[in-house]
Amino acid sequence: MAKRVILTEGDDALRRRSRTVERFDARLAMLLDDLADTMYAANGAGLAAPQVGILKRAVVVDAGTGLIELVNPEIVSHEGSVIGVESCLSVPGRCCTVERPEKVVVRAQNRLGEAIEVAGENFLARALCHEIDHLDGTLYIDRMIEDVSDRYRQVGRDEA
Amino acid sequence: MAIRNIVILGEDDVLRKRARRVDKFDKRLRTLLDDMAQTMYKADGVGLAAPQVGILKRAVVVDVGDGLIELVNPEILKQEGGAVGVEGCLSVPGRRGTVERPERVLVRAQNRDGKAIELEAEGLLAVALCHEIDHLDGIVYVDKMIEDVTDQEEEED
Repeated sequence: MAKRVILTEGDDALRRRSRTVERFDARLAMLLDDLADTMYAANGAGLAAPQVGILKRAVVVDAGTGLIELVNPEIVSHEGSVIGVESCLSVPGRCCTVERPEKVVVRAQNRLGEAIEVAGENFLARALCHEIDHLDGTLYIDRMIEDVSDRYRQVGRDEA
Repeated sequence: MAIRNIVILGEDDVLRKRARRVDKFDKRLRTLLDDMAQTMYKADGVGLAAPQVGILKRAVVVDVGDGLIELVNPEILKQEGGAVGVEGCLSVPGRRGTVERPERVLVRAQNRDGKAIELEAEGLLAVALCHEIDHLDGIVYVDKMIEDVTDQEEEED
């Protein structure tokens, strides 16, 4: 387990499309371990592999209810919509409002390649959408409604 | 100012030699530093060490996006933390790999006039400084590489 360097906005890796994971091997396990380590060390609620320069479709999320690891995640259904404040470890010092689904169902694989499904509501749904966006080179500021950086100080658990 | 030729790993053993301390802060050194900066920017790099242009002198240039830093006879005095990040090198074209580096470093060096300077750096700047200073001792990042991540290309769809 090791902490990885988090890339910040302006780095090309954050704007590229990540590749589907086909090998569920020791390298992937190490990446997922490191992503979790890095996320917790930075006090974030989620981290996607491209944020550490690895263009693989893998994310980790912990919205306060335990660690979720998702490989090749896809949003298969969503419901409702809510506007909420987000921030991002790759866009330090800013927070902005973004509209996201209220509920999502995500289909993915675990670190062994087994198919899994995760249903999330509210903050978890938001974190899942935010991380999955990273896999397509999308940052939350692309979807920003309003920059509220001056009104909210970043608090650990809001960062993803 | 001139663009210099960047030495490729494997083609010239100059990258494997220890560079000598700079004692003369003269016009030649200034020309070298100017040329290194120009060569780095032209190649779209974030750092370049003198051995990479075939000159075995302890001089590096770095710019991670916050402006040009020139360091002569740099030394890492202190380091803290550790994090794994992806690196590439102008002398190892087409490859990328992960390396563990300190998160924060304190570097002592001289500027182009020979005046002592100290620099505190963190994040990508700390990584770039460590990477360039390694070149002065004949160390290339691939020697410290944990994982080769060269193959990762975006999907076409």
